[in-house]
Amino acid sequence: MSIKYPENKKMKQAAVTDDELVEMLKSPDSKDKAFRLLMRKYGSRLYWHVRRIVVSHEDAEDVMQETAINILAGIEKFQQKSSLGTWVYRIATNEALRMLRGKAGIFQSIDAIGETLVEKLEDEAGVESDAAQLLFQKALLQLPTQQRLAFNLRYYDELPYEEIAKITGKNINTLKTNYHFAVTKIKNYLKENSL
Amino acid sequence: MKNGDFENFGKKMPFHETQEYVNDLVERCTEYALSSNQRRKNASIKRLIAYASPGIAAAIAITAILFAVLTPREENNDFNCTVETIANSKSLGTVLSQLSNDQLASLDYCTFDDLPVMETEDEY
Repeated sequence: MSIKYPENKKMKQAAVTDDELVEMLKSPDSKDKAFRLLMRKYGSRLYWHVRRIVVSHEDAEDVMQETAINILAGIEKFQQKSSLGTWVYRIATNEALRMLRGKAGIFQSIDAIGETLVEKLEDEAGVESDAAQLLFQKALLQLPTQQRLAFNLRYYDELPYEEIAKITGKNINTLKTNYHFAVTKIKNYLKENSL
Repeated sequence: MKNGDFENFGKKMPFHETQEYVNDLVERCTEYALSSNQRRKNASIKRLIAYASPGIAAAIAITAILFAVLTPREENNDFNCTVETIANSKSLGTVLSQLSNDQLASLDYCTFDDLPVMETEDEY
């Protein structure tokens, strides 16, 4: 099944398929050009995906740099067992989670840094931000990381569970349960906070 | 998937970064990755040269030493001490007295067993 990842507008004109991109990326002559096309196609979506996980813009930028480096370094080993989009999402997700683990330290679970992430959210959202959107994000940050990840990929990125399973390395049923719990918790949070 | 229960909240994030800003950031990351990849390649070539040069020099030196040690050398004493030389001379003492110290040392190559037996009266 071919998953349709929404594309950057510039990319639509180029109309290079993922298979063509992979082929170009594996050829030394066209590697750089193909990498630029790939980043133009997925970069923006990857940024927002990462930003939703790490919240801070600065951290998201660091994660994006690492993601770009890892994509470029790993493309020769990419065996196309999954789609290119899934593969780059997986790299970005792993890098973002690595960043969170680094922030949490060795004695703390990444689920325990929700409060820190809420503080970052408030710092970076600014006074002019929409109150409803801010509350919604706060509700998301109450969730354990796996539930938040499943919810983000389903709600924002609109990916099917099969793809989310490949990105997160989790079982589909587990992801469905994660998503279900996430929705219930978000609803409860929003209800408690009167919106 | 539809927004469903959360359609009032939409899918926008409450951050001020614009799409243009994000596109620029992505481009920066792209170029950074490309240049860092190039730097990595150059560094590995430099590393290879740095590690390989002394290795190659050492290998050449070791080969030269082994060649010098293991190649059989021809002994040259500037003295052909053959059984015939000694046998044709009037006496062993005459021959030996004409030899230098080095030549005498090289007489290890001949043994007295190789010399023909001479008559006592012929010696003197």
